[in-house]
Amino acid sequence: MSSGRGTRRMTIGGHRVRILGDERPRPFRGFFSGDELPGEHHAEAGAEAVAAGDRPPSGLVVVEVDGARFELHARPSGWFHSHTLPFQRFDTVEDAAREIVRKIDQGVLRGGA
Amino acid sequence: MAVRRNQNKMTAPERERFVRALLRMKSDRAQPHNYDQYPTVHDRAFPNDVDSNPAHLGPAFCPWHRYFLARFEQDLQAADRLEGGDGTLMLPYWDWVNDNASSPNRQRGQIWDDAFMGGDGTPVSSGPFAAAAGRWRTVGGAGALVRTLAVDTPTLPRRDAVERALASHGFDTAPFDDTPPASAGLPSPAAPSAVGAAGGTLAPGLYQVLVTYVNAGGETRPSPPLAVCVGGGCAPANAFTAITVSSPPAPARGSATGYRVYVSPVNGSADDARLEGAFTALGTPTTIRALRSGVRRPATNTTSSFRNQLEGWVGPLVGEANVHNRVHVWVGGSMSPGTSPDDPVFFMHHCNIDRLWAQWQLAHPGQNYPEVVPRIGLPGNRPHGLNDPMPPWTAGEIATPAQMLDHTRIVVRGRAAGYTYDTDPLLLGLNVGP
Repeated sequence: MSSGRGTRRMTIGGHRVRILGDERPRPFRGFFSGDELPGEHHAEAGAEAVAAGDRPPSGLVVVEVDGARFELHARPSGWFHSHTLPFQRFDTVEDAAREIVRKIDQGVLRGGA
Repeated sequence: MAVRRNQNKMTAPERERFVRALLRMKSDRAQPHNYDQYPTVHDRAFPNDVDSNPAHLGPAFCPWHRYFLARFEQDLQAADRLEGGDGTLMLPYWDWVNDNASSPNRQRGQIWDDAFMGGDGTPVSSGPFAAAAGRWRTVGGAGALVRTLAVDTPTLPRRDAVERALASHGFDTAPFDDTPPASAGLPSPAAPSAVGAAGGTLAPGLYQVLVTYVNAGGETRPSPPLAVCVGGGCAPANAFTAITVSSPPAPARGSATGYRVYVSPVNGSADDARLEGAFTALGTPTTIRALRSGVRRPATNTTSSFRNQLEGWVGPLVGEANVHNRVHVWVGGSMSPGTSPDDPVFFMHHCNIDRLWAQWQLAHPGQNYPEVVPRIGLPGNRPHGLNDPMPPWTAGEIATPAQMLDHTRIVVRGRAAGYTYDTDPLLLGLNVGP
């Protein structure tokens, strides 16, 4: 499965999952704006093209489960934080997607139609 | 002074009274003491960017929740009065280090008893908050309370994680997350080279001089100190009134852009440290001519700060949730999302977190609560600074971290709401200076 600044689609536990945004962890290189390395924002080969209006801002990844939208933020130390499940840390966006699906199935989060 | 007690000390009638007040808050939907405002407010404290979060991932984690709990307690007391109580009901705390999964007789026998918080399940199947009882509809999720005890992580926080947090010397510091030390890659400098000079207003006496390296990520811990004697009381006596400090050498690793000098009277405490020389480029000497109060030298870094360890982003279990976060994950279910106050055990958990902060405050007078907290990705500051109103209490009902530093004297909605813990020392006397 490719990983980059595009869109991925998959099925987790029978739910339609779409992931948009840059899934690469962002290692610490200062905490001021404009810290990205040159070329960091370029799309990678293998990722589905994303319409400009769909593209999340740098550092933001969107996980859509059956159309319901959940946002993740790449933390400076290389993991992902979700304001949906705010007490956990996720090493990958897929880990977060699986956990979001599990919480939807438990009735803890509201999924899409 | 009202006392918050350990839940395992509550009698059966006390537990029943607590549950009755919670259910009354839940059922009084149109009343000011309605329960559902709390999961809603807590959830809204998790906007979709860290820089806008007033309650987590920064120093206001402690004071925001202190106010949140005290406000809840006031509403709990209103509900208690409506249930025939005298309105003196206090929040109990859940000491999960001692009442934990490895002590089944205590844990299972009390907090998860069906006459108290009830059991677990998807949804919770027993106790006063069970879906079948029809009295507890959640704000988040599908409307029923869910608990999956010990499923998402098998153990509650260990004693060593709490002790490590309590032993931290600094409350919190930039960049307020779990990145490596703020000055990533920079070593701390060696003791500085400094001599007396003329042209200043320093009073005669012995001064301690330290320097730190600075880069875009922050600054290092200070160097070892150098003592410099100024004025006629020195041996030999001199006429100096200033101190000139040579630049430390550029470090062999890291990307230091400059250094800072901290000068304080030798018999002053670390919290009395005063800074005259602001940022100075490497290679350039600087002369300290006068002291300026209110500036403290860094004594910690983000990854060892008390708040960061208490909140649980760093700790002995690397890459896992620690302390506060770990309890949310261990309880699981409705304790997982931003609406986690949907589970009333949230308040007993956070009461313990608040108790630990009070313990740390007592052991570390002078607190060093940061006055300003810069945003991570944008210009400006986060609402976590010492005197920043903490959203949503920014107009009319205002709460700031400074107002929350002494838990025995806090005020909620114009009414005294101070309290102590049954673990606080008698004749509690906190030094609450920022």
